[in-house]
Amino acid sequence: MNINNENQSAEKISAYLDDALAADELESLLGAPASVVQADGRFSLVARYHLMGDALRGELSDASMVDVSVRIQQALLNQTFDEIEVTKPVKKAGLNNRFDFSAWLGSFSRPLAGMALAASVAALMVVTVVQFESPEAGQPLAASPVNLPADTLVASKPVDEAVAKESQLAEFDNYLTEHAEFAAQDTLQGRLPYVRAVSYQAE
Amino acid sequence: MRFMLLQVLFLSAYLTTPAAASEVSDLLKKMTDADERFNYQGVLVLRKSNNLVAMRVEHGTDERGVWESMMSLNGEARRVVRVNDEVTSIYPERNLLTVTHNANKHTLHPALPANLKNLEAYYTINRLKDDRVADLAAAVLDVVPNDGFRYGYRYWLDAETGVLLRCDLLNEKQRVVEQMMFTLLEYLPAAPASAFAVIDREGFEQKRLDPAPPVQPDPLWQVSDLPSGFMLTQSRARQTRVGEVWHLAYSDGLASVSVFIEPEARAARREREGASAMGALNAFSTHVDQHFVTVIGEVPAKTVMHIAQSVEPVKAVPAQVAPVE
Repeated sequence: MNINNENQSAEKISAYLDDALAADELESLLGAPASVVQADGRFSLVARYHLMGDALRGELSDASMVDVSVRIQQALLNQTFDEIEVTKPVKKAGLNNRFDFSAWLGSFSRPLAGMALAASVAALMVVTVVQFESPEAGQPLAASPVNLPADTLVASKPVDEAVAKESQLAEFDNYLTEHAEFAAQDTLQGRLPYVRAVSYQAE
Repeated sequence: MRFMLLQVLFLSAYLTTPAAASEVSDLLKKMTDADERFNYQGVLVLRKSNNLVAMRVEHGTDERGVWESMMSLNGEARRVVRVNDEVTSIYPERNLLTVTHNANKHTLHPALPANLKNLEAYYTINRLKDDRVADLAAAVLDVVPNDGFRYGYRYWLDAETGVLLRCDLLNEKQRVVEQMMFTLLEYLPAAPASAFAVIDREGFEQKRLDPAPPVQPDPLWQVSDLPSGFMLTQSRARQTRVGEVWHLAYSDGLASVSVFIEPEARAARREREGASAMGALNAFSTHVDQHFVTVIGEVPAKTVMHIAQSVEPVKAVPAQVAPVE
């Protein structure tokens, strides 16, 4: 967070205390977990504000500290996550004749916001890498978490909330499309499932 | 006067009692056959919850088969083009084009008219007073569920051609949860000029979405307490890094429900647990035996929840057993 941003946040916090902050600004102020830890390792202004608030209200419990540690962990995980994005070319190389689950997911994802979408793409890239390294057919359904490779672990980390939500939405869209595809064959209604599928995409 | 009274009584009885099976069968068959018999273009609207979507529909059929194009007139001009078994989705804002085939997926559910007997076991079908939709005379069928596990349907069919002009989905309180209706429909003497034309793919990223073939012929999962009338119609599994993702499809001939079972490998998925709804569509997600189960369908919320809570791994017998009628 640079000085300008910090000043803006300070102004927003001041406006927040005066109850003069618009809802969307409030959301942007409070919903910024990536800025909890700055590049220099210090807590951001927002994080410090939350901590001070908790302390002043006498609510700085063990749970708060756990929460902070989780945020730090999340920031670190996000860093690892960004590095994984470098594996993008691997996806391109292997797309030829295989079902690309991540592309399928991506094709029906709804762009909630620019940042969320960009993050989502990164998430999907990770899933793609996972697929290409998929070795065994007929693997037991209950996969053991102990031997999961690093990239799978990345996918299972509590990454940025927007990424997780976008990824879930994309996956849900994927399910909707698969459902529509089957419903069109199984029912008397022919076109209706496809109409629904188009409408889900249009929302 | 007495004659008129008799006429009214007769008509009332006709309108409120189940229609003759043959009449219903004829109308429903007419509706399904219309897909391969008529050429038309028009505009339809789909309303669900607070959302309204308009689409332009073009439909053509000739010796090359059936062609249909649906394009959203709201927001992004997304388009779905069906040519027989091939479905192409076009996303202009993302310069993305996806293609999938349905050819290798055969439904296990019996087709009409054999299916009508099954339908009548779970729905009561009434013929209502004729109506008018998109300036066309419409025959109206009221399909009332006999239990709370499925929605009711009301079909407005073109009285002459059988093309489905309007469809309402009604919940157990008889409230409309989804409406699809043509506002404009024009029959054409031949398939539209653009029908079967090669889609311009210039500048589009193209993706073929055909899934990998099933890795297992028999499902490793089953729904132990399926609502009566629903039967397994298709099943397939997709291999992923963390294991197989199963898709089991169930249908009672009108309502369809999909069950997705995936390994419980991502912590973020815990947030999705529970019920959600989108218009007529309900979904319920839960955890079963270290797996995450998502059930989706145009059925009441209690149906998806009931099915999700009845999902279990097949233990003794590997094959899915359909409920005995």
